[in-house]
Amino acid sequence: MVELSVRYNPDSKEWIIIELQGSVETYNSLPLKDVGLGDLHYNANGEPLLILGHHLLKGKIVNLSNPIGVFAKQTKKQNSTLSDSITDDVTCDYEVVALVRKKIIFATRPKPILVKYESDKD
Amino acid sequence: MCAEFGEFSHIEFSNDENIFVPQDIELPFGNNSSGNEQKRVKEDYILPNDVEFDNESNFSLSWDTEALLKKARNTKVLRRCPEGEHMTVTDTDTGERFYLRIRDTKTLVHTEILQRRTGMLDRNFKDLYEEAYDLQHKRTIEKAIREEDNIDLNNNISRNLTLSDQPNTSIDTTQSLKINSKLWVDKYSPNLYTELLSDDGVNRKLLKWLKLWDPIVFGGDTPKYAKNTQNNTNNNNNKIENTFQKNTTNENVDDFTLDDTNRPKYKLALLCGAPGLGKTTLAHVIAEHAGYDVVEVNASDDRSPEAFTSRIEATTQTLSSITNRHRPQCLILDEIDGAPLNSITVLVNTVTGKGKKNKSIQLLSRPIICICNDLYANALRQLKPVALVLHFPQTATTKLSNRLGYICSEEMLHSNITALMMLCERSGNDIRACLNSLQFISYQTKDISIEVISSKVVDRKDANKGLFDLWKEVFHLPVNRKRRPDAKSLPNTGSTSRFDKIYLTSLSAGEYEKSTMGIFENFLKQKVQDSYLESGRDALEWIAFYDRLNNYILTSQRYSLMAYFPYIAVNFHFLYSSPKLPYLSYPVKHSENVQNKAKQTQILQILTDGILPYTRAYLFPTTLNMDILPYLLTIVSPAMRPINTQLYSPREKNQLSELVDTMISYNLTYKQQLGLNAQYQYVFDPPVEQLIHFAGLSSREYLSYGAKQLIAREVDVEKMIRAERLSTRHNKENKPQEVKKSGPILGSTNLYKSNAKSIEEHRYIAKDFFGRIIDTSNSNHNIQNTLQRKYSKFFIRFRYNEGVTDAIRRQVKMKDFM
Amino acid sequence: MSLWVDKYRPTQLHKLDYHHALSSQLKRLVDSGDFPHLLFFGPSGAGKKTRIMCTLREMYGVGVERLRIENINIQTPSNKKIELTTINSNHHIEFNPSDAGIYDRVVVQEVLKNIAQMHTLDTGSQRGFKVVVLNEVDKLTREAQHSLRRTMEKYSSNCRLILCCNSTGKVISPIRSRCLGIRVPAPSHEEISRILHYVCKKEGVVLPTELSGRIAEMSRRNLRRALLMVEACRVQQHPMSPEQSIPLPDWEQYIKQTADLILMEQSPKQLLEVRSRVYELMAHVIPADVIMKYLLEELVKSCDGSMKAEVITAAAEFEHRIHLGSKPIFHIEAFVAKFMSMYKRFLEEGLGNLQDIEMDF
Repeated sequence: MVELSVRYNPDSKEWIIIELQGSVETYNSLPLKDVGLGDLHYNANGEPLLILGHHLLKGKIVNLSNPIGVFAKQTKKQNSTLSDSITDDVTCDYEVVALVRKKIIFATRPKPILVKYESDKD
Repeated sequence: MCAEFGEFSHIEFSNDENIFVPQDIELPFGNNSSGNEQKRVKEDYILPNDVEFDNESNFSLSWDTEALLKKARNTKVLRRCPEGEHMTVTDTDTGERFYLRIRDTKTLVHTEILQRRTGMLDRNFKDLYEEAYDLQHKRTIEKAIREEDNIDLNNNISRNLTLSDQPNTSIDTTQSLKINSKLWVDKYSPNLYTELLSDDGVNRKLLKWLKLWDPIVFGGDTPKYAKNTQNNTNNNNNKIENTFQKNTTNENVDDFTLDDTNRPKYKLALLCGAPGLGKTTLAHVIAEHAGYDVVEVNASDDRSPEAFTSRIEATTQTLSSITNRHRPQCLILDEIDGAPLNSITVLVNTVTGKGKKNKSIQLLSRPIICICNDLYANALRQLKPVALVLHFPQTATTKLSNRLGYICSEEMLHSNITALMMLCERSGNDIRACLNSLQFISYQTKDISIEVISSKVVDRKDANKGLFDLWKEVFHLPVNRKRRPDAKSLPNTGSTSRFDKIYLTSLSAGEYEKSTMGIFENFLKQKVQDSYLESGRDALEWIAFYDRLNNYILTSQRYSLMAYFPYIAVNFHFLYSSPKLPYLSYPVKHSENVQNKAKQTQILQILTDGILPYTRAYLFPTTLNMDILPYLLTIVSPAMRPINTQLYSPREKNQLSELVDTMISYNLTYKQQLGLNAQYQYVFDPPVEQLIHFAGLSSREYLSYGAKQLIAREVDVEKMIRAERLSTRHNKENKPQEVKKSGPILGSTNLYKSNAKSIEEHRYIAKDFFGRIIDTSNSNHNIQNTLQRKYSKFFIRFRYNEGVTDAIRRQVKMKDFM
Repeated sequence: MSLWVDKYRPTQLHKLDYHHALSSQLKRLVDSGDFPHLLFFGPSGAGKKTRIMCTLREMYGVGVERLRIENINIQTPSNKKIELTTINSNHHIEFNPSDAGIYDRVVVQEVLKNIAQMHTLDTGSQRGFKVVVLNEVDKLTREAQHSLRRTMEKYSSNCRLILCCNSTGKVISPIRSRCLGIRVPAPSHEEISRILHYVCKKEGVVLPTELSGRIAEMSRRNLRRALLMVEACRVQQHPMSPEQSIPLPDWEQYIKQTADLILMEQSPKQLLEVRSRVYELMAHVIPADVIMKYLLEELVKSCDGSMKAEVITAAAEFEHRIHLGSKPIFHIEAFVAKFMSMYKRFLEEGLGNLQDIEMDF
């Protein structure tokens, strides 16, 4: 039985899963890495709105039935100071990076954004 | 058994024809009402002064019958058929037949009349009987005297006629004036329930309703009939009780139920009917009878909402009055149809307990009776649902004329029944009018004959009749009653009088627009011999004439021409009246049609508003509706292969883009909608299908669901692109190119370019249901460039998948996210 | 713009396909620099509007084709607000005063005055006046027409009116006399089929000559309709065959059915049925006079020659009365009743005669 030590910092961030019904693509099939997905806003009623490309998605916040914890595994090689034990102690530490209690589901049909877009920023 | 029993009591009273009062006693129960019912009503009515309910008065009827039978057996129940007048009684238990000899009233009454006070009438029955007996006695004496007088009178008249200029006459009339100083209307107005002339059913209903208030006003038990169902189970072995229930069910028991606060379901009673039927009198008499003090508010009082509220509250909130010497008050709102709308609202709110802050205190605890002439007045619209509406039927002519005959004999007038009936008919059975005319005549002559009535002295009452009355009169041909020898002199027969009658009715009914519409919608349903449709033709000419005239009056403001309107009804009467009672309905078709048309015009308007200016410049609303739309719907529904658009041939692609173009320029798109069979379907938006489609013609289902979905999406995308293009053009102001001109050209370039690109696309677009060709196919470099420039910040876009599946799962690693 | 009607609509005078004489007249009129108020009239689908637009284009260049829609709000003296949609270019303004219904007089007065009083600031324009196009002038009320005539004179210096209507019969004579009337007759069958062939050729579709002839016939010389018909035919069946059925609008079929009902039985019950059908038609925003016209056409087909004149007279009279009254249903039904009565009598007399003849044998 290996004892795992879990370090939990109650102040650790809470993450939220974003669930999309559909797929996110790039124009030129470029990889999605480091691409900002879009802007997430909340309207007056607290409903999340996601602007993704030229689509506006309206979602809802759902509590996960089983919250998910995101652990970061940290291995430390400890050379024991005691001489009689030669074995190297490999200890595993798990740090709770975040807890996921909620997710936002964007399941409705996206609305195309027709308004003039302020593209002068770039 | 009940029927026989009823007859029994009936015979008892009417045996002697000369008795007047017993007849009157019967009045509240009606001639055909059974004895049981009488009994029941008797049980339930208490004396006004007698506040507490006598528990014993709730006795069952079987007891009563038994007792009667016992009594009868003691005296003269026979098993064999006796000689002389008799009647039969069948025992319910054994089925045996008994015979009762009918004796002279005097002896019978003395032995049989129940001595105890049953509380149904406000006096002891015995007293009543004695009074009646006295009266009858007096009457016979009077009659004898009068007959002697009559001879004198006749002499008098003949003398007056011959010597009319003698001062003697004037003295004579002044004398009679002095005698008759009081108006007959007041003099002979009924003071007791039994004297009421109005319809028994209505009388009884109102009384019954008023009695429902007893528990809350006077305290004590609820009346028997209020808990009808319970009663039934209690005495279910009692047959008579059961029949009893049956007899009353036709009065719609529902109206007389109590609500959870132990008050009647309806807090108001609304009496309606033509003037002069005795509504006010009835309300007063019944309220008195049920033990209330009457507070009347009528048109002469202040009926502003404030005054109304204070009056209602003052009357109905005085709960303590019962312990005092005073009787509780009952509010009678007379002539309520003339009250301002606000006041009615106040009343309704008070009654329903709405709009009040503390409901429990303000709960209405006194009955309110409203009286109106016109039930369909606007002001009463809110009142009707919360009120027990009692229609006043016309007083029966016979009943009224009987009463008039009685009054005539009281007033020492010579009358015959035909003349009185004619008087009733002329006045439209208006009691008040009859009495007034009678009194008026009596100043001139003591002899009421047909000649006097039909002379100009008594003119026909200018009754304000409703539209339905008018239509009924127009389509109903009165049958000439042959049994009357003097039919000629009576109204309703000759064509001249028919003409006059319809003319006057139409004139008084007014509302020519509505009345003409009513005639128009009803006349073709009349069963009239019209083989060549000539009356139909003529009738419609008249209707068309009305329309032209009306329009002319409205545009030129020459209202004097309205004088010609009543003749339309007259003409219809002569063309379309039949002896059968017409089946009439209120005209709604035209207004429905106007509404439908407005709705469709609205759709057309919405459609037109969205049509692109260039297309619109060539359109008139009517051409759009009549020429373009029917074809447009076909044109935008070409056969399309239900496959991925990527697999479309160039021609098909071109077709699709043209289709989308057309849809946009005519402001059409598809909209998802839940259909009748709970399935989603795509319909045109705006809903032009209903604009084009006619019932009875086969409706074409234009396209499949998938195709419509595809098109709807394409239209959205295309619209987006156009908006995009417009905005860039506005930003840059570089290319003042006309959109319109570029249309066809765009389409053609589209054809070649999209062809070339689509093959390329296949390489990197893996799988999806419907491609978005306009987006992906770089149909137009211009568009693509703008898009690229626009979204250079994010290359990202989102592809929405309709429907959801959990079937595909992919493993992802957390480190990909971190 | 992909309906063929719109796609192949000529926008320049010299490209018009028929009435070439008219086109050259218009051209000369425009070239002369100034022109009087114009009144275009002719049947629906003859090309009035196309000619108006072509004339405007000739005058102002392509600028007139850059159109935009504007909404104008007007308040009537009775404080009712009316919204009117106009189609504008920099050089002209077009609207449909009869949209305002009974308030058309206010519209004509207010809007026209406003437009006419404003001088065009566009100095680049080669003309010193603005053009106002008024559609459906024949649907204007009399009052509106009367208020129009004064405006026409008063502001003639900086404003030209182009009126457009189907028939001048309903335009009051003072207006007619103030305008140069331009009649645009309906294209002939040959012209229609020529245009149809031209369009089909452009579209790369084969149009059988027989079909084009039939379409020209069925379109009642309405070019717009003919083009729509061809396109609908193309959509229904491709390639087109000479025998294929040409779709008729539902409302026309419905009127045909109604006429059949009238001819089938003449009774009050049938009249009632006809009434409900006429209501249905009116609910579908089919104008009363159109109902009357089509009904008459269908009825006359089955009439004996001796009856025809009588029936048409009656129809004319009732059609006139529709405009005098306010509820067309009365008049249409009156006509139907009259026809039924006439027809039934005629039938039975005919039958009687037949019987007489048989008796003779």
